[in-house]
Amino acid sequence: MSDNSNNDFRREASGASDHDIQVVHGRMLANQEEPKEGYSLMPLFMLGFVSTMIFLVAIYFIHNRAGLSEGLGLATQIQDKRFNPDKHMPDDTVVAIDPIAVGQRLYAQVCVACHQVNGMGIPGAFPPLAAVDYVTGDEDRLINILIHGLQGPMEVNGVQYNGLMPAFGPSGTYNWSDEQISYVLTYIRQEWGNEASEITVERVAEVRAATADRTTMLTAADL
Amino acid sequence: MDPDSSLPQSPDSRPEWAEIDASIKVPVLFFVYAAAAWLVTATVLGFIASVQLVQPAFLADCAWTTHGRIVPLARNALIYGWGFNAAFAVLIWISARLCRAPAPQWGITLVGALFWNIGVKLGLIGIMIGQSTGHFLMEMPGYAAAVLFVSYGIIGASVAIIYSRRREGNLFVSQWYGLAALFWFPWVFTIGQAALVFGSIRGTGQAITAVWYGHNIYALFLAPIALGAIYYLLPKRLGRPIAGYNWAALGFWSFALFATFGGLAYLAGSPVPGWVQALGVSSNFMMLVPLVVIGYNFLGTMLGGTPAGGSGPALRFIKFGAIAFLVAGLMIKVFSVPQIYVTTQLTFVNEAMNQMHWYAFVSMSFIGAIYFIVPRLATHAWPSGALITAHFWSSVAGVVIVVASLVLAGIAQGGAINDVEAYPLFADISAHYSGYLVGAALGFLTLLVGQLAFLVNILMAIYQACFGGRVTDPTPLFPQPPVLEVNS
Repeated sequence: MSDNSNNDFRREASGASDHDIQVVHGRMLANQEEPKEGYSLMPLFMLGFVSTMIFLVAIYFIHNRAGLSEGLGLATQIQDKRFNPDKHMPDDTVVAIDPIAVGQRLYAQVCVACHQVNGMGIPGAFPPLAAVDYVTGDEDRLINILIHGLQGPMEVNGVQYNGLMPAFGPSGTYNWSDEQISYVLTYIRQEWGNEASEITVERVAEVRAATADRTTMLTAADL
Repeated sequence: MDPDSSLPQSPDSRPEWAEIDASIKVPVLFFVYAAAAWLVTATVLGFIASVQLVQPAFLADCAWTTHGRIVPLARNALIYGWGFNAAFAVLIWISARLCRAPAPQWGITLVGALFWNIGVKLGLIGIMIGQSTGHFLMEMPGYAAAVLFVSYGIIGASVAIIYSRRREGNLFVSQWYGLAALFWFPWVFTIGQAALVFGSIRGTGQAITAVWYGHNIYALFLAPIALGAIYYLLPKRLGRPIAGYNWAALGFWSFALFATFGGLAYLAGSPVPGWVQALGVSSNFMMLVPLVVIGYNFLGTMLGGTPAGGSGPALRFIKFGAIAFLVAGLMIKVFSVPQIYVTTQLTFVNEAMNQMHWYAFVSMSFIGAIYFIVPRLATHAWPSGALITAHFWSSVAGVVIVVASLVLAGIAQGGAINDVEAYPLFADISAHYSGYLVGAALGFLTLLVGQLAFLVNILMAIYQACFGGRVTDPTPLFPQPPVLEVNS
């Protein structure tokens, strides 16, 4: 292998031996307490910097430690064989439910995939929910669609659709409660410019009981 | 007390170097070869995954090559294939050289190396046929993890034996990081695997453990070894001691204390207890302490004067890795600010940060170390300088393109998701950022060019090492380095 200008690049020389690296750095650590010539600002800066960081981060952590004290308390109780969550959890955990907020969350988890965030659906594939009589009109018909699902050709606001709306009652995979169905229907009936009445849990329960013997999905003819 | 007063005379003799290098030559060269082959594999997979984000139909007809399997395949090949093999090579070499102790039984290390790579292959096949566990960086099925654990035990034990036989009285900062990583990894690995793959803890504990594990494979194994490589190669190449070395201990201990919890910040805004998220964000900000100390050490050493021994690939890659470590640390702080993560959380910015940590910092540092190690073990210069140059520039360009494209894609994606009025449909959002993903795919292609050059160069170097004749006196190749002086 002859020497050429490229050679240094292909075999980099060491600038120091391993032993020298060990000895010199060992000496630097051993000598750090001795006063040096000239005054170094580094120790002062480091002390101030580290203290400031600990101070600021501690304030942040204390303000955002949500659940730490309670969690530690509960953790010790859960290890206790006598701990019964029904008996020992605080009673004030039950709070009033806002049907619109819960309905919005349910909608965002499931319905949004087809009917979209803006409630406009996708023309030709999924019908819209905004400004549609099926949504804002007859309550029982709307509850029925949600409990049993809907399939086959139908026309919504002059556009033809041929799709499948899954059942949210006991025959479908979702099997939502009366509460969940009422919340999500109440939500879609007042969103995107819709201004229809609230659908109560009791109304859903009545429709569910009245149509309990239905085993197939609805079609446009049933509406 | 003078630390070297008790040491034997002329401890840097040629025969000692030659003895140490010969004792680790076979396993380390095998690790280097395996690492480079995995790197090419991982980049090909990463390229396919990024093409699929733009063209979803690409290779989507076969279950084995669908996006959901290619992404974990690319990630696991990069981390356990490339990252760990390269880390083992660097760790063994630095340990043996700085302990000035030859490894006793290289055959056993080689067995561990072979089984590690069999374990990775088993794991990737497991993911390919659909047995993925679904936890980030723990996708490999349990049987592959068991093989990895046993082979790590063999490799780790042979590194520990090197330390037990050390002839050097001092312990340099690279050895602190290396030794710590050696024992941190089995701890992280057993907890993660026991909690999620072999057992199954319930509830929020699952998400917390998964994030802690995924972050610590980087923060408690790959990152410390890469930092150790930089700490070693800067003085070794530049011929000057580490600037502000007496602060390095503060950097090490603050890194050890805070790096492990940083991953919990990925859970910010998700349904885990508030204090867990606060712990993650707090740790990320406390990481400013090691970042400042290590940055002072690295930059101070790099900018301290003219380098000895000219330029070279090891120095270039190591400098890039050192600066990438600092930039990645600052990027994490920026993306932890609540007003910013409202947009960037759960977008491609997370993937950009992964590439920043894994590629720009860890991989570039390992590559630099490999460029320094291989000619010494092979006792031959690198076969091709042109391939090295190609590798360096394509790596720099590729890393910058990939990270920049993913950050821009993430910002576009996050902005579009938060703006329902302008982007009502999911398809609108993906159309909005897909242009940047074309950039990421091109970046992977750029990386691939350089990595192929790297692999070819390594194969030629190993061929030379095996058949190029044994060099008994490497002095003409690597002249005696000058004496290291303490900077005034």
